[in-house]
Amino acid sequence: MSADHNRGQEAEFRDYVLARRGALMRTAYLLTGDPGQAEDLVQTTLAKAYAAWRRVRTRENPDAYVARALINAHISERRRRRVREWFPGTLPDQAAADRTDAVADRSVLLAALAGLPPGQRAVVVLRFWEDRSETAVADLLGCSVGSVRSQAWRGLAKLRQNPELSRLFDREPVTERMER
Amino acid sequence: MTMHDDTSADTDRLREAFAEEVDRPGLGGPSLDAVLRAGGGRLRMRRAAYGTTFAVTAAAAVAVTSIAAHGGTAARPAALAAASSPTDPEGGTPAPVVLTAGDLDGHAWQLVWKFRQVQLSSDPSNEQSPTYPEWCADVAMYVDGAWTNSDNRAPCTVRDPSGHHLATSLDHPMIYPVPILDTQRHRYGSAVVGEVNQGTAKVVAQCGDQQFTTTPRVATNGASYFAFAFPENSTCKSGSLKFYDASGRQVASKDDESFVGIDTILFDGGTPTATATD
Repeated sequence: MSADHNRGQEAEFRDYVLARRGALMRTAYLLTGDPGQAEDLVQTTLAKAYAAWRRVRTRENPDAYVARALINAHISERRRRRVREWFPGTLPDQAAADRTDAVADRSVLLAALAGLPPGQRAVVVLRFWEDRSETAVADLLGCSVGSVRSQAWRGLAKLRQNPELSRLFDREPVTERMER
Repeated sequence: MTMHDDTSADTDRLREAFAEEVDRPGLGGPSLDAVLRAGGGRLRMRRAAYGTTFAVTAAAAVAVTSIAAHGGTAARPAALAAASSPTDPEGGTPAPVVLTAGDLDGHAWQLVWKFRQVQLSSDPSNEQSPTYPEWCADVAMYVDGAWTNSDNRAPCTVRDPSGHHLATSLDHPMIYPVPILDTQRHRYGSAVVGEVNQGTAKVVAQCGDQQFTTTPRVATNGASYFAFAFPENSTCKSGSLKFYDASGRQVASKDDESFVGIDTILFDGGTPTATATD
């Protein structure tokens, strides 16, 4: 493999990162509800893509690989955090205070999203934010189209039932309703 | 209005609300440099995993250094041993580098960068691609003179062909919690060892209301390391780490870091006797 060829691939990867980084961050933010966690998630995802770029770039749709990596990294991180939270007594006092502030700063919508199970939240974000088809989401999450449909429906229903979001789902223009 | 219309209207509203939510500062994403660094590290580790070890030399030259215990059970770091400089792969195995050492319950432990040669694939996605030799360094834990984490090592870090250190960036220190256990798998505690940029002058570990400070030391391979050791009965199982440069400016931080060696899941509490190295 020539050095020129490697440099070409790296330049291609740089272009990809610069083009897709913002969109990935927005999705990661809706998945995590926290800018710092979102940045970590995107960095992990793109680092994986970099390591596999030789294969990823030849795929018909590199975005699908990257999206799957993002979802998998998110779910892995959620599992790790859950394990840590089983031992709350070992967490530093300072961290608890920081977390409270972070929650207080969250929007009503993000707080409602945080109430959804991780898989359901991923379906809602991929379907209704990224506007992916049910088939595409099923492919990304490795589940059936029927499962995606039911999860999307249940997720949406839960958001609708949230009293804090009632104004979002009544029949007035959204822009007026979301003013806080 | 049909149910389908309702759903469609709701999803439109939700999409608009999402758009509002993400229209905020602070979502620029990681820097390209950070991505390339993290990706490069991942690639090197993966290549190492694909490689085949064909020359492992025991670190017999590493002498265990007992250090005066602090509070009876805690450990302090030894001054980094004056191991000889790593050598070119063509010329032999680089000498092991002692990172830190201590004593827990009368058992001497020592953390060592232990080099081995691996065959790296020029194309990890193609098993038939040509390979080439390169050095890889494991974080090896020696307890009472025996290497006890050989089956559960921290990620092997590939060094450059001269065996010298690849610089760690100032804002992305690397952390390895390593169990301190003997050959019978009896645990004495954990060491949290970190590899930092030489510009890092101070590391502070915060665990509940306990705070520990240490100064990274530059080893003979040019890398800079620090370590905190926690006895098994310590209540410090996780916490934060903050990194400062010589001017006192915080250059990096890590929150919710585990201070427990990775092969341990069960925590058994105990009294708050943790004392980190200083």
